[in-house]
Amino acid sequence: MTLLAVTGCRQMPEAEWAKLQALRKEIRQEGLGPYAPDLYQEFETGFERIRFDYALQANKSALFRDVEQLRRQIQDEQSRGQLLREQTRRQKEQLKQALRQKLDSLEPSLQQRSAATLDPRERQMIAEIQMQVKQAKTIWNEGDYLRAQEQVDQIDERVAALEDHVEELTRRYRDPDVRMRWQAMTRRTIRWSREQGKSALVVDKLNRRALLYQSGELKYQFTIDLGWNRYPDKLQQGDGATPEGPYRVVEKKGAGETAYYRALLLDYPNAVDRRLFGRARRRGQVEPGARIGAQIEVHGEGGKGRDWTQGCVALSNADMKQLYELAYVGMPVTIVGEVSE
Amino acid sequence: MRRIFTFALLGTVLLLSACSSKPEQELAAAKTALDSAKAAEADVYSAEAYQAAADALKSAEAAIAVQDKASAMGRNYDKAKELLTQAKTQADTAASTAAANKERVKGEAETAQTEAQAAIEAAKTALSKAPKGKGTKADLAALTGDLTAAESSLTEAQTALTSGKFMDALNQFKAVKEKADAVVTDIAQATQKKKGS
Repeated sequence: MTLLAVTGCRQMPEAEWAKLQALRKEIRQEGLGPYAPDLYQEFETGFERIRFDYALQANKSALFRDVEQLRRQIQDEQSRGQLLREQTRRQKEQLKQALRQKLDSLEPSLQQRSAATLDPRERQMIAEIQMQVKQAKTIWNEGDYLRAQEQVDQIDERVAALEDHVEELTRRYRDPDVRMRWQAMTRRTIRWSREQGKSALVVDKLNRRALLYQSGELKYQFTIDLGWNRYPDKLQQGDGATPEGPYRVVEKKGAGETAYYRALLLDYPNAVDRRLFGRARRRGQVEPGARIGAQIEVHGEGGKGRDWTQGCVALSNADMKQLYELAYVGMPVTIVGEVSE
Repeated sequence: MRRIFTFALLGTVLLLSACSSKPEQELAAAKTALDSAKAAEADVYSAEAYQAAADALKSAEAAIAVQDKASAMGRNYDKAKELLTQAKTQADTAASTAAANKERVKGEAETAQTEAQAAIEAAKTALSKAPKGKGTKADLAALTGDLTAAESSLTEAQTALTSGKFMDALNQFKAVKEKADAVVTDIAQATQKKKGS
């Protein structure tokens, strides 16, 4: 009887061992390990130790087994596994939500940014990011959040490269000498308007606005679209940039005289433009056969919210109607990178 | 008489030892099967079967270690042998399942590649045929940027395909096709806008 009792007490803890194995399988199937690698490694090491000890005890006759020690080991490991499972499930869920939020916000902002620019290089960079966002979303849908995170890290790098590209394009907007020149041009135009008691237009490229002054007072402000190559100064025909400098209206084109509702033709290229173009040609900064371009206008058919012209300034037809009525041949149109407040 | 007894005893011991010899060949075979399964990327394409095989191998190794510590008379590797057979079978299954799954994904990736290439060609054709006036020139130039991105991504996906990263390639080809299709739609819209203005 005593022997039977002792043997009974020393039965292998099969149920506990099966439970632990099931827990381990669950952790693996849910792919939780990589969310807490150290804790997982610790769990795995403990599991392997138990596997060995279990086999060791199972090999002994019931009389000589130390089952209690093994049972305690399994219970401790079970607790460690449960802790690991709960902790990593939380981490996985947090990552899942954070990635979803990030990817969901990236898509519309990239779409908006792509629609706002026609610069081919910028568009290419945005398109590359958009495609990677699609891939990251597919991986996210497959439930592999760590791989999705890797994609998002690469996306962040690409976004940073895009910002660098734009920063490079806008570098001269931070150059104090250039800014001072723009400021001086703007001041001269406003002073001229005040002294002459006439209208003058100032175009602020960076903020996409045209400011109409009457007798030195700001009377109207219009939203504008620019050349697709938004940031640089115009150098040659086809570069898609809007020229910067003090220009004047040389012709008013009414209904039927332009494809763009109404238009004010500017005296681009002026003497300064020609001198800069000649210098660029001598320095080999433009291709042989390049031309300086012409036909820069302030015209209608704008209001698209993106830069799409070849270098002209486009207003919505309603704004253009108003401006056209106030404009006159000889009116100054000063185009600068940015108007300082 | 004593000598006969000694020989008989020795013979019995030898017989017993031979019966429960360490399953080294089986162990090597199971390990090789696991290695082959790993090489076939069974840990990716048939993860559950691969894990089961790896588990069986570890259990077998534990059983062998326990028996190694036992006295020669008491050694019994039967359980270990059973586990090793199980490990090998599961590893072989994992390897063949992985090969089939991989082949399926590869096929899907190749189909996606063909579709992505066709979409890019269609976009190129649409771009070259689109009327280029002042109203569309900039739009079309920008769409060239989009198309360049799609082409560069196509090359990346092709590299992934040739280096055996089929899942990555498949996802990337799909994204390329979507972008190229969007370019075709945008070209049509840009052209339509021009007609309308």
